[in-house]
Amino acid sequence: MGLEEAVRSLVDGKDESGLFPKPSWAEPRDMLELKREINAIENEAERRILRRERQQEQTRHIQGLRAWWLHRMRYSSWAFREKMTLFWHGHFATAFSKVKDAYLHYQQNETLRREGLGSFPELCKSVSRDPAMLQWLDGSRSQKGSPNENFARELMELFMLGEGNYTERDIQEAARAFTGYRIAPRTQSFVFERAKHDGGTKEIFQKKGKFSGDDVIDLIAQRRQCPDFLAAKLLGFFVMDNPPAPVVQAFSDTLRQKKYDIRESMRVLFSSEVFYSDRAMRSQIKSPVQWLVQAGRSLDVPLPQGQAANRMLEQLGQSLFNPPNVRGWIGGRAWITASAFVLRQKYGREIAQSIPPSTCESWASEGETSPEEAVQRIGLRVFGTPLDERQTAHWAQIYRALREQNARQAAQEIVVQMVVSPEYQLT
Amino acid sequence: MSDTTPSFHTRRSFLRTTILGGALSWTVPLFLERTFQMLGTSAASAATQVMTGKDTRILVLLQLAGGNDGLNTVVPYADDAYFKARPQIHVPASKVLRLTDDIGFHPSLRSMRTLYDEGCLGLIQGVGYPNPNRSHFRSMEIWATGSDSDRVIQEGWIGRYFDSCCEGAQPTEGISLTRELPQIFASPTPKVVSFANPEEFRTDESLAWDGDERMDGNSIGALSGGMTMISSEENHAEFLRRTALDAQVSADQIQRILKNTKHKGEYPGTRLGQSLRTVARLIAGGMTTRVYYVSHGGFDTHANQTGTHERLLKELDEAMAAFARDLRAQGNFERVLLMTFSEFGRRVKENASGGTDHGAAAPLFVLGGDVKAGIHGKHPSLVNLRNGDLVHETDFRSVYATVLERWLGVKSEPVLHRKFPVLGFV
Repeated sequence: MGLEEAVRSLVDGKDESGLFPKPSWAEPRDMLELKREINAIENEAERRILRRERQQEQTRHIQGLRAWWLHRMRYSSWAFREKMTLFWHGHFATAFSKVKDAYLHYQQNETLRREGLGSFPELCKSVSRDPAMLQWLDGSRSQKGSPNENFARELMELFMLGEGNYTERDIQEAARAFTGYRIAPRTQSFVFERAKHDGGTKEIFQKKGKFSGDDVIDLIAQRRQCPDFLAAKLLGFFVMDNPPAPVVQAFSDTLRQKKYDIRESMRVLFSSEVFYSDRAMRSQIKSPVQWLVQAGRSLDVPLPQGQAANRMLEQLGQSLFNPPNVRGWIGGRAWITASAFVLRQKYGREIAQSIPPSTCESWASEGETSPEEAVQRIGLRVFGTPLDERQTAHWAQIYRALREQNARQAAQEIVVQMVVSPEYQLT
Repeated sequence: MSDTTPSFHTRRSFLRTTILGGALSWTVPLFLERTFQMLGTSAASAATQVMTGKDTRILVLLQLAGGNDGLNTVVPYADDAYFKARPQIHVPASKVLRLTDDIGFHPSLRSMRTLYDEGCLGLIQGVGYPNPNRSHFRSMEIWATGSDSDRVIQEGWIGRYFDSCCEGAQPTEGISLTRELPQIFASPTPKVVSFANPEEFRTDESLAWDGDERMDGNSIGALSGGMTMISSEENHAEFLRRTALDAQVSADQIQRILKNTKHKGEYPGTRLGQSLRTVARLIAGGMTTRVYYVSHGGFDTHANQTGTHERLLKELDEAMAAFARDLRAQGNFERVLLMTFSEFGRRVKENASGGTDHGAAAPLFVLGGDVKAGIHGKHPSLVNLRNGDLVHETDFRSVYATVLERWLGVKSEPVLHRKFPVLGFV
């Protein structure tokens, strides 16, 4: 398979939503009806009990949604699309800590999956109407006369332009354009309330007009800094930490040439020399989700059952649908605090030990194999890249010593030691 | 993999003596054993250091994340401009816990009011910086690094303090009770560990220490080589190794201290309460950490502020009260200075959602047995605003300079790169 074909199979996967049916509860609820039910209860204490039960139900559902998405990441044959969805989830970071409605998160997740490979400005427009986002950044309460600045600020600072590339006045004016965006209570979907919208003239980036919210997004997308900002963010997630300026510039040009078409831009990126350069290979620290999903896929083990995977990810600092704040996860070295490292070792060991020793043994050898060949074969599977000469010597020596002690478990222990090594944290 | 193995001989003897010798449980990761061996005595002594931390002073930083609304925390209840700007969300004058004829605490801060009366809670008014930035993340960065608002620097002010004043320090000069490592500690060689919950910060088995046996000529020679791998320009692999080593040493030390501390303090079950409880237990156990960091989040009150803010302040109040009570009982209250801070205050005028948008200057609190209680600095004017925001009276770096000079006993200029007036709160 040539490079072009390999990239095509990565980027142009087949939609397999049918294989991952949505959770049974993932339907809109009639919020007015639910409210009426609560209000019909006269006893204050009983009202509180019902509210709490409903909240607990939402917590169960969001846990189910996490498991649903992790399962999809683990088994999807179009892994790239799931990784892209994860990128957008961190980019438009929306958290259950404030938006305590699992259906809204499901809806946002599907939007990011469905539109995440299309046009970036169009995706931003969909996100500006996304009910979870409207609740998360208080847009659903913003109205003519006293706009709420929260969404407009993060749209410029975190979603499209980057800090310092706009004025406070740009934000205040842009906030006016997003007034009147509401969540229809009966269908939990977007509705535009014209009466609450400020249709007046706004001045943004020194341009005057009766701009709508969509107009504002188009205006931002025309700013020179917008493709630069997005390029740096995509490179930081998919290729390398702190990409150097010329690399950012080149990819920014690509985004512009491709008119912000994400799929086509990523195709160029995955075919570029930069993507395969030494600077990029094994240069990033795996996020907890990547660490877990990749372990599952490469070691051919199921994800930890029940709530175990969710708990693990929470402790490692990446609870899906609950990023720490609107900036999302910082990533890079921030993933590896002292306690996170201790936990990655503990859980890494558990995962590796769940592989039967005989399986590890079969990875190590086909018939008679030297320890060098054996650890190279295991290393390729665990790390995804071939061991170099020094690494081979290092692991082979340990393998020999382990075999003297306990031949049957030596291969498994090598897998364990590789998974808990610092190098395994890199991708 | 960047192999830093010192010599073949060492590795062979190590394999023989440790992995295959006693440790057939195979629970200690090999690379860690190796790193330990290379660092040899220095790591050993760090892990088994005798605690002599009974006299050093301790700083506890308490972040109010999201931008605490200063005006509803310390309320200018006699100022008409306050009620005019906040028709919906003001704190009624009748409910304010009055300190002077002009200002008073939010009613949630009952215990803090008592601490104020007892002379161990100080209030610093109108803290901020010139050309305030209203981005959470940029403003947090400015607070963390102590930079001017138009300059970007990476190192945190506490990180620089450790680097310039605590040479050859242990990995636990700082402890952060957070999942992410706060930038305040950032440095080329950070001397801080972080964990949200001590239960998660536990190695399966503490390393069986046997440093002497393992030391031979070769590994002593390797020691200096081992240390250079912890350099200021470390790559990811080196960073991972150092973190792993710090984690092993400090997890064992912290677990030992927590286990041995017979601790009586009663704390609220909130996250902040439990974080301060852990801090107090570590202090009681003689941990030699100089700076602790805890965080209390949720202050970004753009909508429906009143109930949320009331709850957040109540949680703050109860946790601070428990912490003070506990430290007093331990006899450590005089050694500890707790300081709150937030990335900014909030807009003077309320918004249509019953909340407030990002603002600028705000008050902060200092708590401790040796604090000069009372009010430091002037409440900012509600009339002379800049872009609808309060204008700061005290530069936050003056607060840092005071902490460095008067509390931690070091010169502030090498840390803050400039002279700032020292205040009188300690």
